[in-house]
Amino acid sequence: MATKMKVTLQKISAGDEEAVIYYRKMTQRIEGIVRYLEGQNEKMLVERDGERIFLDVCDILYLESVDGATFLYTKAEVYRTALTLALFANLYTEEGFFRCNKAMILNIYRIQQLKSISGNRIDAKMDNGEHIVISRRYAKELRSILKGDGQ
Amino acid sequence: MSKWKKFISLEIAIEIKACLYFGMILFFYFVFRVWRGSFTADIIQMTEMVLTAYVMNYLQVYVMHNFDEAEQFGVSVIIQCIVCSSLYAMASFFFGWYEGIKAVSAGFFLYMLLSYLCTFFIFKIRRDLDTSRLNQELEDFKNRKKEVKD
Repeated sequence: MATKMKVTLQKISAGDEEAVIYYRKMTQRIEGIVRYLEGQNEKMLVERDGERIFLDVCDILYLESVDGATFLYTKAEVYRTALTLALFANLYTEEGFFRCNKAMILNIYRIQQLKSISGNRIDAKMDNGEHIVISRRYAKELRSILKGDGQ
Repeated sequence: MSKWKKFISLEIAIEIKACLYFGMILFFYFVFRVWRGSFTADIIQMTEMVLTAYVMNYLQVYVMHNFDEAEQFGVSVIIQCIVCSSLYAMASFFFGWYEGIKAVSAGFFLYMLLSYLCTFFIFKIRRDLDTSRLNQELEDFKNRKKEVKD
């Protein structure tokens, strides 16, 4: 559970509105607040149990296509989207999303650890502890993206 | 990837490894020849060595799950190393690579066992180095985004 943060508000009558954050260590929570304040949060419409909600794109760990349906996985939840994997890849490549096999796209920013495995494949451990094996063909592409050649 | 491409990629991997093992066998064979006072090698015996290495690598990849590239060093890896080294030693005796001298074939068995262990650890060290490089690149990639934001 995230620790409570002291919030100080000051009403001003003139000048630009401004938020100053004092932090000891940059955490995902603070990063999220910064993104929110800067209005950078990309959101997309997703569905879960018939309920439609807007989800921060950066919260998505990976996407999977199963029997023609596209599922989005966050740290704790699974959602469904109307977008196809190909369309999603086109829209969000800049956000760090990478096609890791025919039926999956993963968020590079949500990879916790990478491990080189036999056959020039890569095992990606995601933020939720899930392991995704990237085949040799796609591993080559990931290597070039990480080097800054691919994106 | 299509089945054909998968097959070709596996074939290439088998051939590369067959060359590696052939090189190791050849080194022992050359040392033996020099020890026996000969500075020539038998082409037929070298052909037998290539074919043996090729068949053994098929066995390693398709039956023994490529044990020399396994993730963990365990009992099954040791057993498979012993089995393959024994098969090489038997082939050396059967084909007469070491003039039928049993002690040399036994020495060849130990040499192949050591070669398998070295190959396993070389592959493992290579993967470990690759892993640390990958994680460094991942961290740099994440930091690049932060820098752009700042």
